[in-house]
Amino acid sequence: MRKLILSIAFMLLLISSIKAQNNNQIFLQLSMHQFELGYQHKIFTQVVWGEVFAGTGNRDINRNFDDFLSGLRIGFNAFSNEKNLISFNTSVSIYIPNNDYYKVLTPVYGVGVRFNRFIGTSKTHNLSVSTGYQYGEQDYKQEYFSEALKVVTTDNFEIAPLYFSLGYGYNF
Amino acid sequence: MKMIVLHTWIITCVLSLNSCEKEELSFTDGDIDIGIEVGEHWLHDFPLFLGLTKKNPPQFAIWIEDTSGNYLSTVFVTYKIATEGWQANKGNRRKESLPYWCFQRGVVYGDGLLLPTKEKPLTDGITGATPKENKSILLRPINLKKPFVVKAEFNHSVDFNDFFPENANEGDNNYSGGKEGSGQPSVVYSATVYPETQATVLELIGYSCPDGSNGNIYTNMVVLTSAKSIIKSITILIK
Repeated sequence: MRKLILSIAFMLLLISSIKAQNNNQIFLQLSMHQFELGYQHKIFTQVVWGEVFAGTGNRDINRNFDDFLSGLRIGFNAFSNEKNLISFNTSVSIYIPNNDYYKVLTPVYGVGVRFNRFIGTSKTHNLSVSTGYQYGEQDYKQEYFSEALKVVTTDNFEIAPLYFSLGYGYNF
Repeated sequence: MKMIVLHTWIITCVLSLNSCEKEELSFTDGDIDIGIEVGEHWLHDFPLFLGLTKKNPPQFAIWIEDTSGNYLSTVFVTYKIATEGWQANKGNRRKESLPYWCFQRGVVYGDGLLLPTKEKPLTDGITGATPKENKSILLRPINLKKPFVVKAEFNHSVDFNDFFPENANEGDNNYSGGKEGSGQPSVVYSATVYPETQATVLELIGYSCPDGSNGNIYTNMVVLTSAKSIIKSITILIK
């Protein structure tokens, strides 16, 4: 029985090690203003990948971590060795603030660089550091009515241009 | 799979680019354009930690009164004041921030202060983020008879000067809330809109009680320094 469990565990380890070559990945990414959960898959060639991600953010007026974001990211692996990987990426996403004062769907475009450090020999787990530039802003209108008057004003919702985040990835 | 990813990418890009439309105010005859032109000290260095600072815009309120000084309605107030939306304020409600507006409005909350709370945020007028640059507000009178008075109050936190120092003692005339208090008190502007008014500029009429304990206006302007240039001008244009 003990041998069987050890054999199954060894087989699973081996399978995950082999499949790590496919570079399918589920990842978590966290920064001061955003949390992302995503799935990465190799496309076109062995060094180009695509990601879909969704998450929450706190970039709007109330600073609560209840905004919604979702998007796509495409990247390519530029430099790598046994343990390390540096990739460049570009992304398009939407950011939807959640508060009582305005709703504005904001497109966000970004370019960034990511460093992954693989843990262990199987390359199943990795930690990452990402940084880059992103652009996202959208005007919105606010209105107030009472018996006496109507008030209208416009404002601008803007995503902070620079980002820095830490992440964890599970390859399978 | 590859084509799906590629097509999704292209469609997302196109949709995103199409959604970048500029919002404009649409004025009609009789509408009032309240224009705030920011001054030299619109942004103020707010200390964070290790000597780092952040450029903070002021808190402000714009409201309407009748010519007898009775409060009628708020037009615009910044989010932190309207919702007690301060970050890491350790329970400090900052009653010294916009006391004149608070006393004119005269709504008393559960803790005895005149400031809206998280549980009961302001529902009059527009609550918004403090703009980082010039701002225009459209005011359309419906049952608002002229003449009426437009007032505005602006305040920066921790903009201490020689007259309102950080180390002033509580109870002193120049006490403004202590180390994390107001510094220079809020400045108040006013203009009357008469039936024949086409354009006017709000005049600086004084400053509010430094510690926020009353709703008086003080007129000894020599004690103010940078607070006088938070805004360059507030104009009223009748369309």
